Amino acid sequence: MSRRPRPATLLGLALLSGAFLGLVGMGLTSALVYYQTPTELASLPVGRAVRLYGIVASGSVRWDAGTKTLRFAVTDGTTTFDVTTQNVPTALFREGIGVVLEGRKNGRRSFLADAILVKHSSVYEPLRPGETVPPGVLQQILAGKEASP
Amino acid sequence: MSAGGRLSRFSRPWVGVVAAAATACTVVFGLFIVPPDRLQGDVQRIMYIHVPSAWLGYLGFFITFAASAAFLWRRDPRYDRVAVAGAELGLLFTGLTIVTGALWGKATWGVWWDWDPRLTTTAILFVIYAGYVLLRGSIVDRWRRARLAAVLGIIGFADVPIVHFSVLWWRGLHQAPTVIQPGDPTISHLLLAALLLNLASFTLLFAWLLVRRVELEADRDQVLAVIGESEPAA
Repeated sequence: MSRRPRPATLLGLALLSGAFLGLVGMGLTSALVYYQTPTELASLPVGRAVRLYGIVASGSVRWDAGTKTLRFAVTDGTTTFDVTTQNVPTALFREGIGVVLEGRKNGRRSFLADAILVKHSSVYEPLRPGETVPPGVLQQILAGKEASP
Repeated sequence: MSAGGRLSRFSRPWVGVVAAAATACTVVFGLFIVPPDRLQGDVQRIMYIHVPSAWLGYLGFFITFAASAAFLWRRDPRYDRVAVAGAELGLLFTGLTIVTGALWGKATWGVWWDWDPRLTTTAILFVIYAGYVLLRGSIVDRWRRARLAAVLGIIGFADVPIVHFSVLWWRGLHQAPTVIQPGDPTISHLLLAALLLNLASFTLLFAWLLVRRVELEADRDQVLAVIGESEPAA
């Protein structure tokens, strides 16, 4: 049977681990920038590989079936980037939704995306009777139609 | 029976049967009765398993945290048994959270996994408690094992609030909290009902498994005491 640790030892351990976690938290906060906004990316040099987050601008989505290229614009309300990609997003992809793009800045206001991750909000609403889930761009592509009006 | 007593009534098989039946009912409710989400469609139903699993993961690790502190305070092996049960169930439900999250992520985001802050801190949480279980397995002496595991069980819990607030503190892919946040839940009441029903049935299942696991550990201690492997409860 061992003796109990002294309260001072426990207090010391608690303070040490608290300080350690605080440092880790502070380090993560500055180093762990998951994505850049279009406005932040605007001030970065061309060629920089980043994750870019923005809202898919309405009326900007174009699907070119010949070259299998998807074009759209993302915006944060202030700055807009034109995006080109040969990656196909999930069915949730649509105008007005937030997307995280992995790729690189290939022009002053253009971005070449290797991956499109579609973010969804934390708002959940039931489908009302008679309503259907609105088709995303993916379904429109699969249906062989142009993705834009 | 040292650990049994008041708990033994709760460990009867019928409690497990009720828990399984309740889970089956809520699965039917969540899959067939509640309408799908108007934007995500049917895939949003994964939420009814994903979110309760995440909360029960937190609960399991909180039980380990509290029982570990109680063990260091009172030096009663019963608290140590509760601590190991909480950690194993926390691991089970955190694992379920990661798997269901991967399925949901593939369908909505487009990827199974991404090093987003919420996902990364959750992976760290899983590794911390996997380490807790490995640590226990590596120490033969009963008291030393309980003492060292208790320290890890307390420190490891610090990651739980980090996981929860990661979506608010840092930019990421994972969406912000729907229910556990100041203000009204941003989920319609019908969908919330399915979520809370699943939470209730999962919690019953969790509680039953927890009690069974604590009893198993008590039986193990008794067997070890009989064969002289380890000192029994003081």
